[in-house]
Amino acid sequence: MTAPEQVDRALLTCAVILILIAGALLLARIWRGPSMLDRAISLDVCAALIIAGLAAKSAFARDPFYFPIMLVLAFLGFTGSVGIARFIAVRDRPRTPDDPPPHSDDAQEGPR
Amino acid sequence: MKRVLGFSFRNADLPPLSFEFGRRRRVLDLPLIIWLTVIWVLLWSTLTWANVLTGLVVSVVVCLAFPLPRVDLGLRLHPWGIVCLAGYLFYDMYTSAVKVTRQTLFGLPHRAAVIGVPLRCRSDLMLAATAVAVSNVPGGSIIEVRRATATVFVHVLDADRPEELEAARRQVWRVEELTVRAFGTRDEIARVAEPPPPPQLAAGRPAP
Amino acid sequence: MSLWLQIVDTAGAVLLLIGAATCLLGVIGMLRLPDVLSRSHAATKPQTLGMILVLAGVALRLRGGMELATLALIAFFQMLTGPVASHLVARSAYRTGQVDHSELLFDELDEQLTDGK
Repeated sequence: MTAPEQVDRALLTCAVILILIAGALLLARIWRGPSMLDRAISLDVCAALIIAGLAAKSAFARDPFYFPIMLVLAFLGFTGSVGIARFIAVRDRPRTPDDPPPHSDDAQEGPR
Repeated sequence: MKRVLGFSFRNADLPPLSFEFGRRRRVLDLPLIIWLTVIWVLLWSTLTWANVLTGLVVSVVVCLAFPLPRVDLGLRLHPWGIVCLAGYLFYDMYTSAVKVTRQTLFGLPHRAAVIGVPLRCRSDLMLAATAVAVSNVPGGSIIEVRRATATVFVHVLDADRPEELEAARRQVWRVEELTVRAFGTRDEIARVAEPPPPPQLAAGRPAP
Repeated sequence: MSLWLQIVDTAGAVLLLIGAATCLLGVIGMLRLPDVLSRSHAATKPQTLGMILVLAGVALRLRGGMELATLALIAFFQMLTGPVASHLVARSAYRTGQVDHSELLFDELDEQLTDGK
């Protein structure tokens, strides 16, 4: 292995590590919440990070094997969070804007 | 006896670049079929004649099984406009990403606001395309779109200074103009070439 | 010739690294910003800018016509579907009262909602 290839490998490894750190921080955001909508956004970003990770893997191996999977994730990654957003919106409809602002994790309680 | 095959340049009722056939007047949209075939070939990720032919067959079957309403969407492609739009969006993404990063890392105190920006174009497709383009930039997130008044409501992160708000409004109008120049019909482009609406309209209220 | 290919390879790796850093910055923004709407600003960053940079890096390293087209299609659909989800989340955050209205400097949508209904 020549020296430039080693530089490339080092750069790609750094990129993978950054993506992994981002994923870990995102898991912390999903864990903390505070509302279901935060988790919905995090789910979107999670799909984007999975696509980025698969892209890094194909750049390592120079192999387009995972491209269809990335394509399908880009197609369908948004459906989960759309479901959550619609679900919460339907369940919380009786609220009026005059109510006091909600506190953490009250999105998981039943209809008001 | 009616013709079995009819093309759009002979029949003005049909949308452009489409043809109808058969006794039940099924309408096939030619660009839609080509687009579906391209996606099919890309999903198989090899360009062979077998893939192209099966893609054509599958897309024709899909178009016949799930027919779309016969409307002219008003989608025209202008290549140079698309290049301009992509370039501006990339530049805009970069600058707004820098702005949002500065906001998060250094924790500048900021007050957010929701502003209404009335658009000049009236067609649904242009409204949707502008909304998608605006919300792809990190600084803008669309909360609500009013179809009746063609107004988009944008959440702006740092709204302390009035010039920032003006800049956000002008940015939305710029994106709208570029989007319509990339995808719009001729009269939409003429409408967008006019100056933006006056300030009392820009306050988010519909015209009296 | 091989030198140029090597340069293109390294440029692809650098682009991938920049894209990954952009993703990380966006996620840090998601951790630090205070409410749902602000977080969705930060969430757009890994979804569009980071994604485009990463895919461009991969395209520079693979350099095939078919791979290039597939990567362009991935970026296109990511940019087409991302706003759908973020708009729905923002809209239902606004409608269900998860936005603290006293925090907003002013709010032109609220006037219209109360006027129109």
